Amino acid sequence: MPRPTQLDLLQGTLDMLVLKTLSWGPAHGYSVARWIQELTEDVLNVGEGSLYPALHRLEERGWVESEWRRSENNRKAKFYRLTTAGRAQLRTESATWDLFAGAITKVLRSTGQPA
Amino acid sequence: MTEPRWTLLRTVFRRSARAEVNDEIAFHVEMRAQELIAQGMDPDRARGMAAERFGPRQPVERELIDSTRRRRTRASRAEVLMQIARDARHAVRMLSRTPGFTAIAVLTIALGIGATTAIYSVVDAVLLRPLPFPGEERLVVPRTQRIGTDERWNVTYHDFLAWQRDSVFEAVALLQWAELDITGDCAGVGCDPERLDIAFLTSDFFRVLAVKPLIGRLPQPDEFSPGAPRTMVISHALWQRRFGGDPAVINSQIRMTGFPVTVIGVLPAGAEWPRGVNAWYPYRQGPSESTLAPDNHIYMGIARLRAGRSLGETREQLAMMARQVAEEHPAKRSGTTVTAQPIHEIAVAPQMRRALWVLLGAVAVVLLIACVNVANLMLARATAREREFSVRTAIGAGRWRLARQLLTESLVLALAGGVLGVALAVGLARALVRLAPPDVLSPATVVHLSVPTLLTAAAVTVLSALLFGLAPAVRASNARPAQALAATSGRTAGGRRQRRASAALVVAEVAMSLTLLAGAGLLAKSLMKLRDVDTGLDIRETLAFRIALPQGRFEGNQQVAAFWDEFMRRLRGIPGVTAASVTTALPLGGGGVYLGRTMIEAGAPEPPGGPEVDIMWTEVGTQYFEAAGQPILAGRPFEERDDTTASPKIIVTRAFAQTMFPGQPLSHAVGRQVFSWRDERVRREIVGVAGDVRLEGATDAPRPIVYVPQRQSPRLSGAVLVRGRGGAGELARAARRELAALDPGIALANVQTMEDALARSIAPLRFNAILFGAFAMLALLLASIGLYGVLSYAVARDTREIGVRMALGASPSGIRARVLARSVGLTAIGAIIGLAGALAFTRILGSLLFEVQPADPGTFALMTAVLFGVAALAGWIPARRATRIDPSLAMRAE
Repeated sequence: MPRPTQLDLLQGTLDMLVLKTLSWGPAHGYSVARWIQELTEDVLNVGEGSLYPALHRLEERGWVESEWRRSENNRKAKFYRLTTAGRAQLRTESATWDLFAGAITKVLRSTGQPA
Repeated sequence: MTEPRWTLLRTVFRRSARAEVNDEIAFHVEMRAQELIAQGMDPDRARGMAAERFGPRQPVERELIDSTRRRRTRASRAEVLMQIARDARHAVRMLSRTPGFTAIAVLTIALGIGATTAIYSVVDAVLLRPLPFPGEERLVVPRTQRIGTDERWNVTYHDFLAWQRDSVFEAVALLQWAELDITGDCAGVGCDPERLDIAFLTSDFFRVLAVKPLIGRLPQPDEFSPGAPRTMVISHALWQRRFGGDPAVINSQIRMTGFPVTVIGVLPAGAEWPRGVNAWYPYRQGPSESTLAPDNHIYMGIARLRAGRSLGETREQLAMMARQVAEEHPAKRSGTTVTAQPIHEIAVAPQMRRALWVLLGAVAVVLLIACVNVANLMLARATAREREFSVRTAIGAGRWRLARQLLTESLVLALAGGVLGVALAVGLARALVRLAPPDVLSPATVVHLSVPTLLTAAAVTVLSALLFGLAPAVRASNARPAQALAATSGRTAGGRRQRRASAALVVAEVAMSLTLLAGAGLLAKSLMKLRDVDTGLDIRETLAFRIALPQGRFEGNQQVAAFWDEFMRRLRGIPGVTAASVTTALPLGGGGVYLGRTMIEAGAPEPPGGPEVDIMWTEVGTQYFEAAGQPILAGRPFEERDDTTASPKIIVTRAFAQTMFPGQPLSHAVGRQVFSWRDERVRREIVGVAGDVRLEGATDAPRPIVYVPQRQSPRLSGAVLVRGRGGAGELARAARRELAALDPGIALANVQTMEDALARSIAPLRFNAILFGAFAMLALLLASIGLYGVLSYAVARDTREIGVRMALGASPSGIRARVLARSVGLTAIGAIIGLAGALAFTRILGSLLFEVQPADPGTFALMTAVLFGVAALAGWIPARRATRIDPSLAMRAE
């Protein structure tokens, strides 16, 4: 499925955020959405629906796994949790992100044009 | 995956992918709505708002459903693979815990599969694979046949012309075997003169076979006329051997027994008919008055059936035409008819055909025994593990789980056995071709392993393993755990039933082995009889070879007779040689030609008014009886004076004298006049009676033979017999030297000792007996393993009971006797069934036996005794183990 590169970047970012939220422990899709919204203060404004394809994609890759359990208000919900492979992936992705973000920041903060 | 709980829950509560995705999205929307309501929003608005914030639902739903399905398929596939790997590992672990059982089971399966596949592959290559001619199933060999018998021989030119006239066949040809020497002119080094088997052909021969030359061309119709240049087509084997496969041989001239012949073509490898022929010559001479005679049966026929006409219809027409000939020429043809045999019936000797089918039958029995053995082993093993299964059922293992485990164990066994079996089949098939006498199996025979046979044999063994391995397991899992755990000492109904089943299996094995043993015993006895067979000859220190004189160089009887006289004089001059002579046909199947004739006594009424004697007509030189080591029982041997100037003389065999003059002493025959009344009608005086001899081989019954002095009708070719000390090799070298000194253009061919000839005539039977014996030993071995297994198992089960008995004072010998009695009892039942089977089976051996009755009581008794001996041995070890049981331990066992 070819997609525009713009979306690929966004997708990759979303995947990373999902992995990060799940690194605190198993959670269902709704709480993942809530956490991301809270932490980014809605800056990223993730469409709630687009979260789920990301979750399933991660599951297909074996980075998260899921099970149905009772939720906090005693309803059946699908809980996701990070696998060992997922944890490794998160580490790689955050390292890459740090490098990337640092580079961009450096460029944006620079004052003079390079010789 | 993770903990078993997860997997279990997932499989039990699995909903459809769509329902699951719906639930997941519904949960999200509901949670958002609840939160909005908690913030004080109106419930209806809150739900609308929640749905709106989720975004377009359908595309998400579709994506999620697809993803879920993909994931599920992949997961279940991975799970199956992992399960198989787990099961296989477990099976290997379980099997390695009982190495003895595993080794025996694997070997048994391998033997069953390997032997069956090898023999069937050989049968397939020899009997079933068509000859390499297009439409070979429509090729037939017309043959003359004595009405009401299986006796068949060659056909006449007379009939051949009639078949052509009436278009009985699509195409028909005649051929005549001959031997010619190829002399010099070859590409290789050291091109000694070589004797070739060749065939003279009528013009349609290659059209009948529909064969195309590998290189060069086939003879044109005009090359079959008198005066046409001499041409020939050669075999692939000769082309390779003598001309190094050089294509330049085409259109080259080579010298054949004194005259040049142009090679015009080479046939493809294997496309040789008749087998063993090296060169094919167009028949350039038309038929003569003698060859046209309606009873001159010197031609081999070959024909292709007409399209749309069956073999049966063709046979009817041939028989009808033969009846007409017999009416026109009653003296020459009455009592005979003409038939046609499919070519592959001619290509494989009937003896060989029968031997291979019998071997195949024997090997099928071995396979059956192997199956029974594996079944028995599995049964015993599964029964021994009943407790294990009960325990596992009690802690929740399903029946399917247990069945799957057994299935995996059987498959692991079968796989190991199968791999070993294939290796065995390859080795055995190769060994068969190498060890078989060339007359039985050409060394060039290409044997391909028959894959369907391999699979069938494998399937049969695996199925029997499964059937008998699964049954106890299924019952174990059926039983209520408490009950099954309580029943540990084999006194349950199930234990008894299994014991009965395994006893029945052993009985079947014993019966089948005895059947094979009886067959092997009969063949072995035949072989022993053959070894001691009275050939009627003293064949020690006797060398034989064949030579043929070039046609062009020896004109008239005088020159030919002079050559033979001189050659014999030189041979007799070799130091150590005591006799040398010549004959048209060597005894003991050593090769050559003889004539079939029918003789009556001079002055006696002609048949049907008086008796006649069918005889074999051979021509021999002086000193023949001395050289052959054949005694003269009455009268005298041939002498130099029995030549063309003397009146016709003959010597006859004892069988002749006794058939022609029944009840008379042999000396009565000497001085009598007899003649071949159908054709020659020359009165000949019997001057001597020789001892009987086996003409065609060791198994041939003595037949009436008439010996005619070679000096009264010298021939261009013949077999030479030289009796002398100094070793066969030295004699042959000396003979070759003398021949080269006399005439360097003549080849000395087919050098053999008469002992070789005898051994070769015994070889097929020997081969059969050895193979059959090997299979019978295999069967016996398998059956004794089966017996041993069942008895050991019974002893193990009865440990407690034996302990009690010994505690109560039973003597060890009594216990031993009980175990042995069981072994002997089972064997006795099997032996009775086996003897009945053997009686039926050995009758099939029939013609493969020599001077042994199919129901030979001695052999049957001996083989039964062998069987009981082995049974006692198989019972001895478990019996001894039984008496070693310590009562105090035994009572506490289990």
